[in-house]
Amino acid sequence: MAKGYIHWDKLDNTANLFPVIAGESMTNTYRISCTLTEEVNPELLQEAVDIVTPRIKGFNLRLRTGVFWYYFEENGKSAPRVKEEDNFPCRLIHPGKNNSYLFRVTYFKNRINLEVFHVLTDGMGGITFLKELVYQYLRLAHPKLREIYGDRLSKDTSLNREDSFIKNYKKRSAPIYKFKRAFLIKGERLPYNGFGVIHGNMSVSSLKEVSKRRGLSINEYLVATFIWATYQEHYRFITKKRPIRVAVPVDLRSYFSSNTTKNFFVMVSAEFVPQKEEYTFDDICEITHESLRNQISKEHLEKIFSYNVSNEQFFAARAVPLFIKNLLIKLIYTRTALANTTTITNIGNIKVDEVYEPYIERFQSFLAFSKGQLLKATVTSYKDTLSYTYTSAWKDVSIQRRVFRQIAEDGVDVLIETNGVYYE
Amino acid sequence: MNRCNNCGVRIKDQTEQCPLCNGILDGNETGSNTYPNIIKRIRALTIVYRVLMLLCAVGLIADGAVFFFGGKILKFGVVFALMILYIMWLLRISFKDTATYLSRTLWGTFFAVILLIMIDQVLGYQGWSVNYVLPGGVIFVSVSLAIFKLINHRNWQSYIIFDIGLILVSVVTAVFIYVGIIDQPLVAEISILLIIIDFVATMILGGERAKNELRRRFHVR
Repeated sequence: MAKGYIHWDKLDNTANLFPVIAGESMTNTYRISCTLTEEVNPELLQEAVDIVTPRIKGFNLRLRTGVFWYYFEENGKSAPRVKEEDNFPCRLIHPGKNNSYLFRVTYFKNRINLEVFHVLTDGMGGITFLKELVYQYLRLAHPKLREIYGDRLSKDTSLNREDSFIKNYKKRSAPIYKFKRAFLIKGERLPYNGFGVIHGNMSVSSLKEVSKRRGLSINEYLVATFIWATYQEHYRFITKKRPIRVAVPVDLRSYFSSNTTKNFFVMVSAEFVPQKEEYTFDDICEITHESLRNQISKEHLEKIFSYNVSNEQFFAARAVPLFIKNLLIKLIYTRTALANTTTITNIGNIKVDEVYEPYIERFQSFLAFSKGQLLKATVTSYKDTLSYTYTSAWKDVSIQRRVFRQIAEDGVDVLIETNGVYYE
Repeated sequence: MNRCNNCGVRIKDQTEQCPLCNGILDGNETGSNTYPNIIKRIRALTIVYRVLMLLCAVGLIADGAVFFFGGKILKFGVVFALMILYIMWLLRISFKDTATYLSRTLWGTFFAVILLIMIDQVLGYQGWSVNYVLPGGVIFVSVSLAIFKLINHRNWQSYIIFDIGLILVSVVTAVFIYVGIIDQPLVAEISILLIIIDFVATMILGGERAKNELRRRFHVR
């Protein structure tokens, strides 16, 4: 490649949204963290970040503003500085303060945190980077691992950066997003723009047993607990006009045989519209199950993203100046964002190379807030431990309380861990 | 681990109370916190910021009171008020850790020019703001961009888009000269010349890299 040539790349269909709507109050970042069995050494972690960042091209990027579109450009600067965690999680990643990188690495005691601006990649891409970072860190901290395994990237790591939305959409389809406003949780906010985190750690096998007993998958069961808790706490405000709607992101890679590290997911939603006076938890489980099962088929998922992609491919739309596009995107986003009460993301069960297993205790993840959704949940599991994490800007924790009480009542041992903001 | 008997869950944190129901926990274990206590630091910073903002607000109120009870508009009162508003804005971006040196320079200059034009108006419009301050601001930004290009030499081409922005400002300046709003055009003409030379030099010396930057910036997918 000619000297001075800078690699650049277009944003994927979903990523186009994030730079437009990102701000201090809606940072569009997510955190995935890995807790080790030993205390983190910051110098070695910095060295690991320095080694891994240039090798994972999907992270060695900076975001640029074009006249018609945003785009990525190769980032030749030194890797972002590792810092001890000293602020609320998932704050806005401002490239100007981070060597233009769109991710942040912090640590606290035994935990390594990776915070990623969603424009770069979804959870799968974040996990890939974090795993490589942790492997590299462990190889530096334990030279015997380095001697045996060298500094190569793991064989499970993908560096693919194709836009799988473009590759897999077939024809223009009608919009199937729900625009009608859902019930939105409101209340008193935490002081100092606080960011509350509550992890509920539990056994995967116990949870599987409980879910199976109710005829649900783990994900359906956890979504059902949220709907149940919200229904119980805000009974009077949940009506046919304002139903509970939970956005559930679905990773499309397995449906379309993709291993891209760009964003490749769509949102489906579990909906609870009250039709009678009283509901039991069993009723809610059944409604959640029906609502989600009907939407998760390859054809339906393809329809969801085909509408967006076909709009983006329309030339007249492509040539509209970015600032006008941004206004339209913001307008459409505001309508769709208020159509969901919350988002519950399941990152899935994270697997690591066997040799590193003894050094890793658990993985956790969570999301920043978005418009109308100041309470969100994420599910992450590693080995037999599942973390059901709630992030919230609200002082009131009644929904979280109902959720974890329900799970405990069903016979699962729940271990609660918070970031301390609820004790102030 | 200590246990909350109301919620039926165990609590890992170093606390006596349940974070879910505020009930007292059962058990004598110390627990451990897995997140840093950051509230203290954020509280201290917030207090400093609020005290400084309060001082500015008191200044504005006092200024308003002088106007209200004095019964007539005092030119210097308006100038004072505008300056306090500018200081408040500077405070805001200084405490905002996401503001970059580039955005601080561009917006800081922009608001300073607007402030001085307003002050010129309040003091009976002598024209010094458009004759000297406006083109002076443009020259300041142009020189700043040249310095940024040197400092950030690895990505000097990133600033070309701002050079284009300055050319647009120069067009406005030229229109001001043409219609007579700027009646002492020397500084304005120097600013236009400087910007054009800077842009042409950047494009010629930058070669492929500069052209590729424009291709990327103007790509239509």
